[in-house]
Amino acid sequence: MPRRRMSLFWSVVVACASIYVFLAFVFPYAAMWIAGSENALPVPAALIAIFMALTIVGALIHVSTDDDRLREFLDPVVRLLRGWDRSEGYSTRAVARLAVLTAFPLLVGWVVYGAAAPDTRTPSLLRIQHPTMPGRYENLTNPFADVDEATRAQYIEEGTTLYQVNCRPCHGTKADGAGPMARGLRLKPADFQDAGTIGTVVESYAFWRIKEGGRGLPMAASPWDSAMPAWKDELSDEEIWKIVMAEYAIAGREPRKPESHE
Amino acid sequence: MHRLVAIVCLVCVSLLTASLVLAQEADVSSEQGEAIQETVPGTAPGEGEYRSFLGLDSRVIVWVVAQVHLMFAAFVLGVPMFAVIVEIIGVVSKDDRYDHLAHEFTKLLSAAFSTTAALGGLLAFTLFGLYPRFMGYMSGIFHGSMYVYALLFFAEAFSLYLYYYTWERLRNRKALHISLGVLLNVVGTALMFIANSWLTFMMSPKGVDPATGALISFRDAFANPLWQPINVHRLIANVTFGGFVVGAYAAIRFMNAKTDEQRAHYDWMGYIGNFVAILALIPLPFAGYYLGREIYSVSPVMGNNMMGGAFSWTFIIQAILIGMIFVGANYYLWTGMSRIPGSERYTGYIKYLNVILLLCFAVWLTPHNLPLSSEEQLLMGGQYHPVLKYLGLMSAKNAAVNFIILSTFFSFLLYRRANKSERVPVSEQGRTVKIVVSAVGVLCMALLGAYAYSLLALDPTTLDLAPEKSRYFVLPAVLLIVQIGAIGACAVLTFVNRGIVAQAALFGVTILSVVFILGVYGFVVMTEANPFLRNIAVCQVLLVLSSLVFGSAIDVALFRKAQQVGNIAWGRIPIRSQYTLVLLCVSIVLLMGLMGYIRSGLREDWHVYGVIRDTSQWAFTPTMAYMSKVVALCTVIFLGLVTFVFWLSGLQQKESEPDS
Repeated sequence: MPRRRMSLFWSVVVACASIYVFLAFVFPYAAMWIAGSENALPVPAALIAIFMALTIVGALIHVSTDDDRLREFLDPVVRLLRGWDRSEGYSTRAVARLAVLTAFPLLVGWVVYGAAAPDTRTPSLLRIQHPTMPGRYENLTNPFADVDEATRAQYIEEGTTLYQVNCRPCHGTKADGAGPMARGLRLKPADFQDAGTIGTVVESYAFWRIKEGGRGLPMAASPWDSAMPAWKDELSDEEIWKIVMAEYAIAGREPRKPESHE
Repeated sequence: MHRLVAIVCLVCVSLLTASLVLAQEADVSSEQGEAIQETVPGTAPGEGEYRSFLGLDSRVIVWVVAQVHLMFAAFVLGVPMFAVIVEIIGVVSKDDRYDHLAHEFTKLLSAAFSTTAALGGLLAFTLFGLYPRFMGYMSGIFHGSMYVYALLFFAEAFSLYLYYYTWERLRNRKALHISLGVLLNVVGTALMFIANSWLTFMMSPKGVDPATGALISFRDAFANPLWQPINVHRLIANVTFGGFVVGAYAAIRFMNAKTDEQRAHYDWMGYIGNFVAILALIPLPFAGYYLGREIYSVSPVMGNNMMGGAFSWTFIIQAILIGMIFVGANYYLWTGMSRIPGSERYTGYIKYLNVILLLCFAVWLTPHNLPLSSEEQLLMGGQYHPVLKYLGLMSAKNAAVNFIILSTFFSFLLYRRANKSERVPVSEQGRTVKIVVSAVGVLCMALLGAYAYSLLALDPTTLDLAPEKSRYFVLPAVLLIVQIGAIGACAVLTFVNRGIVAQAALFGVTILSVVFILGVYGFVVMTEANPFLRNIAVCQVLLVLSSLVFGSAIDVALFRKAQQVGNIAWGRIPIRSQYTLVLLCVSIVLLMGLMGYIRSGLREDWHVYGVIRDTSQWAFTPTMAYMSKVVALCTVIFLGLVTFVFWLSGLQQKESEPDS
C-alpha cells in the first residue's frame, strides 16, 4: 500500500506547532541542563512571540516562492471555505467544516478576551540595560588610575574591604550577584562576572551607579526597578572609586576603555 | 551645442574650484578670528532662544522637514550613481535597453530634484526661524562652508539638467555624456559631505573650546571624528535607498501595465533597481558597524545609550526592518526564478537558504536584555537568560549578519546561473579571464595579508591591553592566512575547470572562519581582551568581502560564454514579487527615518554634544510610541510626495506616448 504523504498545509501546521512545543516545553529543560540550573529556564513569552512570528514568515515564504506550491498550500483552505460537493461524502467533512468555522471566531474571541481582561500577572517590561548617565559624570576619571602596581593593589585591597562591608550582602562575595540578601530582591543584583554587565561600561558609569543608586536614575530610564541604595551620603568619592576598582578586580573584569578613532 | 556643454561644464568646475578656495579662506579666517573671539554669541542661553510656529512643536517641525528633505536628497544622490553605471553598461554591451533605463532613472531624478531643493530651503527657514540661538552658533562656525554648499548646489543643478537634457543630443558622444554624469555625481557627493560635517559636528564637536564653544580650528570642526564614518555610510545607503525607490516605481508601473512589452520593461527595471540596492546593501552593515564603533569612540556614554541604553530598543526595530529588507530581497529573487528557464535545477537550495536566513534573524532579533515579566525574572534568577543571553551580544550578531550577507550572495549566484547550461571550460577561455581572476585573487590576498601582518605586529598596549594579551591576536591572523591559501587553491581549481568546487570550498572556508570560529571566539575576546573586539569585526568583514569579490570573479569566469537554456521571460513573474518591491521601498524609508532619529536623538538634550545644551521644552527623549508616530508620518509624507512627483513626470509621457 503506497505511503500517503501529508499535505503541504498540514506539514506547515505541524512544523509550526513542533517549533512552539520545542520553545515552550523542550528548550527550558535543555537550558536547565546546559546552565546547571535547579529549575527549568523558560524562554520569555516575548521571545517566543518573536521566534514564532519568524517561523510563520519562514513558512509563508516557503510555500509562496512557487505558484504550484502556493496553490497546494491554499487548496485545503479554499476547499474549507467553499465547502465540498455532497457526492464526495460530505457528512464527516461537513461536520468538520462546521466545527472549524464555529471554532475560529471563538478562538479569536478567546484571544481578544485574554488580551483585554484584567490580569494579576505583571506585564513584560522593556527594561533599559544602561540608563543614560548624566553629563557631569561622563568625563570623570578615576583619580587612582595612574599609580604604580603596588599602590594600585593597596587601593584595591581597601576597596575590597569597603565592598565586603557595604556591597557583599546583595552583590555577593564574588561579585556574582548571589549575596545572602539577593534572594529577597525581585530583580536580582547583576552578575558582575558576566561579560555583558560591568565589562561593557566605563569606570565613571559604575561610579555614578554606586553614588546615585536606583533613586538617581533618569526619567528616561523608566520603567526601572532597582533596589540599589544611593551611597553618596555614606561613602566619600575616594571610597567609591576604590570600590569600583575592587568590584572589577573581584569579578575578574576590565572596565570598558574609551576607544581612539581609526 | 558642444560649446554650450563645455561652457556649462566649465561653470560647474569653476564653482567647484571657487568652493574649495572659499573653504580654504574660511579655515584661514577662522584661525585668525578665534584669537579675538573670547565669548561666542549663541552659546549662552537667554531670552528668545527658541520660537514656535502657530503653537506647534518646533522640534517635530524640524524633525519632519529634515527627514523628508534627507529622503529626497538620498534619492537624488543615489540614483545618479547607478544611472551613470547603467549608461556605461549600455555603451559597453551595446544594448539600448540599458540606455533607456538610465534615461528613465534620470527623468525621475529631474522631477525629484526641485522638491529636494524646496525642502532644503524650508529646512533652513525652520531651523533659523525656530532655533535662532543654535543656528546663530552653527552659522558662526560653518558660514564659510555654507556659501560653498550654495555654490555647489548651482553646480549640481546645472550638471543634472545638462545630463538629462543632452541625452538625445549627445547620443553619438557618449563619453562626453557619461562625463557629465560623473561630474553630477562628484558635485552631489561633495554637497552631501559638506552637510554631513554640520550634523556630525553636532554629535562629535572638535576644533572648538569645550567650555566656551569658541572656534579654534575650522578644519577640525569640519573634519570632526564622525564625519568620515557618516560619509561612507550615507554614500552606500543612498544607493540602496535609490535602488529600492526605483524598484517600487517599476513595480507600480508593472502592476498598471497594459501590454506585455510594458510588463517586460518594468519587470526588468524592478530587477535592476533591486539588484543595485542589494549590491549596496551588502556592505552597508559593515559601514554601520564602523559608524557605531566610532560613536563609542567619541563618547562611551553615547555608545552605551545607543546599544544598551535609551535607544537600545530602537535597534530591535532596526533589526526587524533590516530583516524584512534582506528576506524581502531574497524572496524577490526566489520568486523571480520562475521566469527563468532552467532555474528548477537550483530551486531546491531555496528552502535551506530560507532556514539559514530566519535562524540568523532569530539571533539578530534576540535582545541581550529581554522583555520579562516578574514571574519570568524569578524563574530565570535575574534579568538575563543564562543561555539565550549569548545571542544578544555583539559577537553573535556579527556572526549572524555575516552569514546573512553570504546567504544573500549565494541567492544571487543561483539566480545568475539559473538559465546557463553548457559552460566553456575556463582553461579554454584565453588569457584575459585568467589574468582578471588572478589579479582579483592577488588583490584580495594582498588585503588579507596586510591586515594579518598588522594584527601580528599589533602592540597590545595601544589598545590599553597587557602585553600578554597579544596571544588573542594570533587566531584571527591565522584565519586570514588560511583564507589567503584558500583563495590561491580556489584560483588553481578554477583554472583546471573545477570552478564550482572552488566556489563551494571558498564559501565553506569563509563560513567556517567567520561564523563558527570567529563568531565563538568573539565571546572569548569580549571577556579577555574587549578592545580587540573591533579588530575581530574587521577580520570578519575582510574575510566575507574577499569571499564575495573572488567568488564573483570565479563566477564570471565560469559562466562566460555559457549557453543558455532559454531567455528570461521578463514580465512573467508572480504579482506578489511586485508587492515585495513595494514592501522593500516602504521598509527602507522607515529604516532611514528610524536611523535618522537614532543618530540625531543620541545627543539627547544637547544641540552640540557637550557644548550647547538644548534648553527648549522639546528636549526630552521621545518614547518609542512617539518616535514611531513621527517616523511613520515622515514615511507617509515622503511616499506621498514622491508618488505625486512621479505622477507629474509621467504626465508628459502619457500625452506623447499614450500606449507606452
